[in-house]
Amino acid sequence: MINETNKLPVVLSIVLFFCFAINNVFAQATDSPPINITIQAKEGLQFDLARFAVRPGTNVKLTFKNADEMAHNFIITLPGERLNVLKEAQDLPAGTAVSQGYVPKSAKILFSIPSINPSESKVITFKAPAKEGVYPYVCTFPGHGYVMYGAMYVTTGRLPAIQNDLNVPESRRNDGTHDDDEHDMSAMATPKSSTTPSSHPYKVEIPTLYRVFMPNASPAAIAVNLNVNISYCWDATYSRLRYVWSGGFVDNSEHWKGNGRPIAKILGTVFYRDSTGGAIRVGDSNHIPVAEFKGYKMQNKYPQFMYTLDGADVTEVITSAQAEGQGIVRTFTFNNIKKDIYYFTQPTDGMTYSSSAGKWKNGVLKLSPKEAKKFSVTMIKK
Amino acid sequence: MTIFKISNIALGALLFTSISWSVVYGQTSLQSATPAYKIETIDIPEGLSAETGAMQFMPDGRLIACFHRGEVMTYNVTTKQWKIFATGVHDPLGILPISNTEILLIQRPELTRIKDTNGDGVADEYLTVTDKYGLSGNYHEFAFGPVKDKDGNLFISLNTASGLAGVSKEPRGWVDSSQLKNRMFSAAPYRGWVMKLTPDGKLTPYASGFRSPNGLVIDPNNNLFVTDNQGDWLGTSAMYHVKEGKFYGHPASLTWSKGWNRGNPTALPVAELDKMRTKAAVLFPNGPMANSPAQPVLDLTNGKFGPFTGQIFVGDMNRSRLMRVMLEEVNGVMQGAVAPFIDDQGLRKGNNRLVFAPDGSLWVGQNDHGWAGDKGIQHITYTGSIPIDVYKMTITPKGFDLTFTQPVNSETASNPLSYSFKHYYYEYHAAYGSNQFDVTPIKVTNVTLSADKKTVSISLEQLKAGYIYELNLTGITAQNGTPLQNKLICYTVNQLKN
Repeated sequence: MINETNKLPVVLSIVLFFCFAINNVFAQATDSPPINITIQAKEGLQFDLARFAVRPGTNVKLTFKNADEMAHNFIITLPGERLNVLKEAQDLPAGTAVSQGYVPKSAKILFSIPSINPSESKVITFKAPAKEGVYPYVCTFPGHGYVMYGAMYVTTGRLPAIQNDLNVPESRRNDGTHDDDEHDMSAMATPKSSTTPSSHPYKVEIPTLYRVFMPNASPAAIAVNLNVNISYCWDATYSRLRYVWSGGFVDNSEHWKGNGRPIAKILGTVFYRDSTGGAIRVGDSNHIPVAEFKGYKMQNKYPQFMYTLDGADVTEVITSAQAEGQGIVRTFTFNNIKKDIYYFTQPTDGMTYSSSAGKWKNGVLKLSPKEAKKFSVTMIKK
Repeated sequence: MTIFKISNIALGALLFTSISWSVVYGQTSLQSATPAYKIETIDIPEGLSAETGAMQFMPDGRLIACFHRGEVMTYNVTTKQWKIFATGVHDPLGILPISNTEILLIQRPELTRIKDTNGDGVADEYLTVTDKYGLSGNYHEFAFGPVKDKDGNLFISLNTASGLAGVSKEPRGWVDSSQLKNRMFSAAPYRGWVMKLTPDGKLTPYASGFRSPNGLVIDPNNNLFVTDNQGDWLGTSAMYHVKEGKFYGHPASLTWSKGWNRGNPTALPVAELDKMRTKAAVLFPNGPMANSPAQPVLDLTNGKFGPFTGQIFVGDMNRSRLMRVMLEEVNGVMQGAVAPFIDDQGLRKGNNRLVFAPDGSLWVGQNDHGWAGDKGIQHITYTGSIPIDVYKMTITPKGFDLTFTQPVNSETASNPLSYSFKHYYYEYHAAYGSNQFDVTPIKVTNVTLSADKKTVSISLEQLKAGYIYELNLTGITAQNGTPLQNKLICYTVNQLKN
């Protein structure tokens, strides 16, 4: 941390020295009406604007909106004083802290808005300092200031690329949200993969399973990676396969980053989606059975799902088809079943089916109770 | 090994204490004795984002902890080895060990029984114990618990959803869309409820009115306590004494009450909701005390963790602090005081999970979870040096009795100016949080110190139910001059004592 901070003046001065072009994020310094800047406190202890720039002496009308679910304040400090102001806020006696909205009385503070509640907003107008520099802004509500900050640049020069800007929180340097026109595409070129070894304290081995929020599934989804090129999404709400994709697995990095609002991203191409409402029918081919999820056991590292369909016990293991990346094999068992079992497919689902038992008719596989004891259905991309 | 280590520390502490005694003897010194508690930071395995969702001890003494990205790991406290037990679970926030090879774990979609059936140390069975509650898909729908009562019932709690985000197109359970505009809402069944799972596997709604109930504990008398976080309908953070069928104030959950036919409950008159609700046993004043209290844990160490046996410790997410709750029953109603316990002594923030080890030390699991806080695990050990602190605060007909952990200096303890009281209350309303209302200094009219110099009886000019009495102590010291550790204590008066 200390090392990084020491690098800052070097990075800044180099960038400022070589860049003379005027950037459109700059506010004009005039005596005309103040320029408007809106900063929102948003979930995950962040300001939506990680930084902004004004010219020295500009009149600024700054609107601070609290779009988060907890209280926040907003303080602009003198250059380099963010952590000191934070310390002063922490040292406020309890009662004083509350009554002052966690804003210490400090010569190190330029402008401040005491803490406001969710959905509230407040406006301050001020004249930007005449002296060029990087003026940090920070929320000093208890616990927030170490991650919830940003930078007001008072300058006539250009800003450093945000990836190198140590005045913004680390999480904002590489999040792909560039707030100026100096985009560096290289930062966005490489997709972030969740299954790099550094995501967990163990080497991620295939098959891999995550219970995670997935697109186009209920919130009780299960994502499984079968081999480097094939994965599926199984839904514990309905106890059924939802879709299968080829390519990479999932990117959970955004989902993991904070409290879980962004859902997992699929790193590949979905080539099969179930549109039968669940392929299996028990006894009555016209009735979609009521499913109840019972859990899963690991069988040679593959999850074997256990559930009931209209009360009948079912297990299901999904493995990769031999033609890697081309399809899957679903192996089912029905214990003590006394009814026929039907496996429905859709002619338009882009798959070719075969099975270890039973008879196919018009895209429906029918199995006798005996055949249904254990059978598998192989589905391959056409 | 562990036992040897502890006696070593205790011996050191004793020696140190006697040295400071001799230093103090000839001079009026404020030199503090050995700190009563030692905090160490546990090494975390490489690659682990140690956002601690839960921590418990297995019967064989291994720590078991789960983390945000779905890892469940065991930690051998002697060899300091971490091992993977289970993976892939969804934002797990609670564990209850069953045996050395089996645990209950709550994750977003369900309560799961996770077991190592082949003895290789890694779980291979994940059985659904219950998933009979709704999931709208809103990110704020966390699930907490379980805790077990004497009769074998399990209790879990279900967070409400956040109005900052919507719901999934395919929620699990019926979605009440009239709720979606509420700041925190309960669109899917039993969000904002504490649920009871009976030994025969039936999940039933138990109590309603919760917002973000990130912490449950059951005492040996089967009393269930649940903490909740300041926000809409919750003027300041709270700990409730939870009983079946009661409503604790956040109205969103009322939608799922049996026979509810009154539409969006947040639209009911506040006065009506206020009448329906059961008030908190203890309020944590927002700011002075806590911003976001987490798991409560009961000290049943019989002195191994210091003088506070029977009391409850609670972590806070935003501060480098734990709090200590001192409860008493007055007219059949639970109420009491809260004070900081460990404050800025090297403890990090984000103190989400607490668990006592078999040796009586306290393990603290930290979590930021996208909010304030830190990651990691720390370990607090009692050094054997008795802290100078308020042991308990109890209400009397005239005011309060304060009992200290050791005899105090008579002069300062007998001085009414050492006790500065004010009272205030928080308003019950839909808006987020609340200001303090009717903030009034309360005059101390008399102070009496007991013969053993451990208890002061304080008479106040006025004592009113429905108020928090905030006490700031100044100048109180132990007899050797060591200043009081924590100078703030807040008592929630629900009932007056006659």
